[in-house]
Amino acid sequence: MNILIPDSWLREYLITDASPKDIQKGLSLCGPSVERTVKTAGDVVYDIEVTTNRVDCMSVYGIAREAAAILPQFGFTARLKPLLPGSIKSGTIPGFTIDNNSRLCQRILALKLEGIKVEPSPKWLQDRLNAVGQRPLNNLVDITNYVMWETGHPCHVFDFDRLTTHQMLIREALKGEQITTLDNKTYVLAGGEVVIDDGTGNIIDLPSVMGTANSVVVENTTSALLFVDDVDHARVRFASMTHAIRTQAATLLEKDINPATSLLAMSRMLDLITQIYPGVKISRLIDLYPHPQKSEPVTLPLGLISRLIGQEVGQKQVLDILTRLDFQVSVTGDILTVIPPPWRQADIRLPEDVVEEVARIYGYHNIQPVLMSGPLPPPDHNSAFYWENRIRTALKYFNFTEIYTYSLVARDDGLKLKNPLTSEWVYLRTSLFPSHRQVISQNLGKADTLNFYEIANVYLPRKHNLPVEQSRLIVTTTDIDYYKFKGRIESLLKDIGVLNLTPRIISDSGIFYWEIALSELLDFATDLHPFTPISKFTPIFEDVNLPYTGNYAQTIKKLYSLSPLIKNIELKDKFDTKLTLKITYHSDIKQLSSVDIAPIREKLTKAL
Amino acid sequence: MQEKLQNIKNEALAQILSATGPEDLERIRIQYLGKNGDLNEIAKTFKSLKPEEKAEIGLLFNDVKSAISIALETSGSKIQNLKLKIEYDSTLPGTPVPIGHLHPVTYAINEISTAFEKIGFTRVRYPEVEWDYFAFGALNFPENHPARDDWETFFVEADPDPEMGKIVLTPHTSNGQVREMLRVGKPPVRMINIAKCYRRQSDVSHTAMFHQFEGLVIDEGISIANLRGTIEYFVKTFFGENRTSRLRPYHFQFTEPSFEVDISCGICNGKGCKLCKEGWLELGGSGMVHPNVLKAGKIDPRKYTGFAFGWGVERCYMMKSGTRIDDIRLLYDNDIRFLNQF
Ligand SMILES: [Zn+2]
Repeated sequence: MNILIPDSWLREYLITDASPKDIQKGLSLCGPSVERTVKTAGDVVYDIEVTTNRVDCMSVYGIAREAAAILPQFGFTARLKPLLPGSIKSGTIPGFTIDNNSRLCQRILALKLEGIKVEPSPKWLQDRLNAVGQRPLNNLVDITNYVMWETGHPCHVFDFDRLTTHQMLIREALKGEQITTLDNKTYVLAGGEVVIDDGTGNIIDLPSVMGTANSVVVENTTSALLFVDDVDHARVRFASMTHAIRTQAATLLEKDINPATSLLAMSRMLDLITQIYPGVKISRLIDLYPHPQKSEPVTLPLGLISRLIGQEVGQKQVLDILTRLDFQVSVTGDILTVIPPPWRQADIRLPEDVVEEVARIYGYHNIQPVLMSGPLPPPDHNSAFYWENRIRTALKYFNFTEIYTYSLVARDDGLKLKNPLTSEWVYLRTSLFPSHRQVISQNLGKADTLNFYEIANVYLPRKHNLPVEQSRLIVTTTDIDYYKFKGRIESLLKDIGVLNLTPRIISDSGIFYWEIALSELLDFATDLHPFTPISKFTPIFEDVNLPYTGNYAQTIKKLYSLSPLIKNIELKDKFDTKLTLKITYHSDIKQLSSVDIAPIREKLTKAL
Repeated sequence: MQEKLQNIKNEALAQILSATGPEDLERIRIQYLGKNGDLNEIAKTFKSLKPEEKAEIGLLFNDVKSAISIALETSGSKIQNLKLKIEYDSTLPGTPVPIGHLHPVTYAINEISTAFEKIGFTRVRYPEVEWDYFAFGALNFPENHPARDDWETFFVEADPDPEMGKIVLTPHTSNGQVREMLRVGKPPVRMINIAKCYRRQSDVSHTAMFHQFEGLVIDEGISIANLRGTIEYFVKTFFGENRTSRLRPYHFQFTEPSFEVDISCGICNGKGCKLCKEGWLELGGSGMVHPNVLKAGKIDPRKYTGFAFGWGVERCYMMKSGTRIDDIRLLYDNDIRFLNQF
């Protein structure tokens, strides 16, 4: 997720001599990445990518805190101007009750304002919101958005007078309940979303995701309820994704923000209200937080840090870095104990998490690249890779073109996806041919003949198990010459040493294809060709014409049986009714002459 | 007589030298070596010579005869060559042997696996249709992690296994990590796993099916420095000597620390241009193997450490200088006019 941070806003909390370019570089190398900067009138806006585990950096204040820890490593002075919760008095709002379920919502903060007038925000505040792409609406809504951007915690404001029952009940939605959000869209709830009920069964908010039209501030609002909540993050994501309501609030709260941040947000809202509208009457603060999260200490051997980094980082530097990141640090002997600050509680749990903090601030760019020097794993020569490449290369030189087709198809008897992306990709294929037929039909007319091949898996279902992933070879052609196609496959088989395999060629939709499980070839493929000593007697070759009976294999078998001196029979030509065969006669024990051949030839011509 | 023989030789050689065709040579041959040729005419007079003269003249005679013969022969083949040049037009194309094409993804996979095999990695392949356990659970993904929900990963309609969970189309080659640890048993592990992966997305830089290559190294004392060393080696081998890499902090469930790997832009050489971010291009994720993942692979995280990376094959190929493919979907359209270019 990305966030826009104006440099001028950042410097309200970050006191530093670093330039925007320095800040960009430092953050990118050691913290959240500044993907680009945009120059505006008198300001620079950083576009920063924040990883999902660092939701504490999704704010002006969070980035300032991070930059203050990073910049000294690059030789700059940097100090954070802390944002502290003011002295808000906790208590109750007379006549108003909130009935929370802490399993659904960890913390709720609420505060009533009276004597407020809804009007446009001051210009400086509007400018800030515009700079980060938030549209100003009115003073109350703008303050909630401003504080969200500044502290990283979403805030909400209700029209207090529209909460007519003066009661809030936090509960799970039932399937089929309806809400209308503040942008006047109606949603039918799936059940399980966290909602606020006014005590009569009426839903008055979809907290942490979006306000509903029946409770938000309107033009004539005079009293308001500032509201900050921490709905369980998984339920926030569920509601937001189910209904495709991707508000900034939902994007943040689905990432498990530490509830300590809620108080900062509430107190900052109050700051702004009293600063801009000094006459407003403020209630006590309702703070429902029955189970505050505590930071757990993490211990690790100091040596682990240098070992995992791969070069020595001194103890002083380690402690310095961790302290700058607001960790409480202590060392006993070789053991380092750190307690993360509240906003890092969810993220820092293991020794490796602590190593990461030290290593990134120390700077990955300062770690020298070194290849491993240890022993190699025992050899495991998987010959499938070798033969696949041999087959691919051979087919390429036999004029076939390799394609990669999708494993998912629109129709098949195979496994079905539960959540397909399109109707074209619903089943895991059990044959490669349909994909090839499709590619061929797409390419018709673009070339005289199409010759394709592919090596890919098919997925054969099994009961209560993963499918068998069978690696297959498919070769396809639109050439109508069957024997040419067969000849190339036979040459391929010969090249990889597979003998005695008759390719099963199928004709379908004007295409010849051969599809085979690779294992059927790999079981026999070999580069080992046993050598037969070259005979000192020369063979005799002879071409003979014989009638073609329609079954070549039978003919050959019969001819071989005529004499042991027939060592080889090769097809030279085939006509409708006639075969031209090249016969090789040879003996290992004597030099043959035409006298030896004559009687065999006699038999040959009479045999058929 | 000797002088006469010498003259015949000189005369004959001069004529042979100036001959322009085989007809000339034949005429010369008949004139000197023919049955009634000059040499035979001289031979007829030998019988009038004294025996000692005979021997001497005989030697010279043979010498002259063979000199003319050799000259005729050599000159003959020279003229033959001259004729070849005239008869064959070397600017005409030869008879082509039609050949097909390998798919660019195959070229990329071959190059990647060769590079890693040279530094001792073992190439393996693991299931594309995978248990949730190997795709997520064993990789330290929490139960409710977004990658595990319906919006990002494909699920197969099948009853979940009580231990292994649902069946998914693996969204990354990282599913091979724990499988390889279990296969090898005891480190060292140096794996390169190249396979198809699937994610629910489709745009210019994403297809629902794509290929990843996953590197995994586990041994005693494996460090971030080793990961940097391996990445630098690969970047220089695959992308070129003048390219370099850097690590940025990132976040993945199955590595700690985690890094995003960038390579310097090949267009602007790191200065910054339209195609890159300030001189850098994102290559993909990497990190030190999370101790929970080592445990899932039955490897003691107190004794062994490791690193892993998983990057897109197509993405790497497209980032190679000079490929000029700007839309990954071209690779899977299978248009013959595209394929014929490789
Ligand atoms: Zn560039």
